[in-house]
Amino acid sequence: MSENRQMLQSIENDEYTCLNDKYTLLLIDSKASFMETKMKISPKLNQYPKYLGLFLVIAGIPTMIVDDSYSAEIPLLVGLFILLVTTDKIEDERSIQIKTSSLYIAFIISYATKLIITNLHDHAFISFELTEINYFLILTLALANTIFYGRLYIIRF
Amino acid sequence: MKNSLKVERAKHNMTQAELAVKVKVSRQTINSIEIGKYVPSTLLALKIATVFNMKVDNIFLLQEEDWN
Repeated sequence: MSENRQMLQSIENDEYTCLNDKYTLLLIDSKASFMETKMKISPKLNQYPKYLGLFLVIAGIPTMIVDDSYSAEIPLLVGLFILLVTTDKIEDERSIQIKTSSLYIAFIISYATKLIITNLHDHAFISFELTEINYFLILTLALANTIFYGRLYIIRF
Repeated sequence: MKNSLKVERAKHNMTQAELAVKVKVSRQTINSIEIGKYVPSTLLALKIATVFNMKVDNIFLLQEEDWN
């Protein structure tokens, strides 16, 4: 009786393992096919916004320095934003993780910088202050891009 | 976490780039996993194990300091 029960238990265990393996393979297959589709659609299409972002950053830096008019910093801001949000040739889990943590680190550094600059300005140690939201965003996005591409291709985290 | 990815790759005579194409990640990701700088997700670990026809815990080994 107990032998039968043991046998039944082992069959149930085997079935469960088989089912588990089947689900694992199905999960891998569905995820793989999704990634294949994504890679088929995206490879060239995703590169064009990156070039546009790079062009806007290169054109936006001298524009911001030379042009004194209101919203002269917009091309640089848009360029940095496009560079950060566009995907790479192969966008995998590591690059997504690096991008997220880079943005987090950049925000912390930018906000700390803003607090320090405001404090120094209040105590009359420096003459300028970071009041414009666009300048704060430029600082954050520039830092995020630098940290992201640095970690992705140079430091190899 | 320790892993024997480099050894398994050598056994299967496979380059980092070839493995990267098979599991659909970048070559840099495979390199980061091999040198222990990046811990892959469960899905990626399962894919790597499937490529080598092995179990995940034969490739990725939990170490004592991982519990801390």
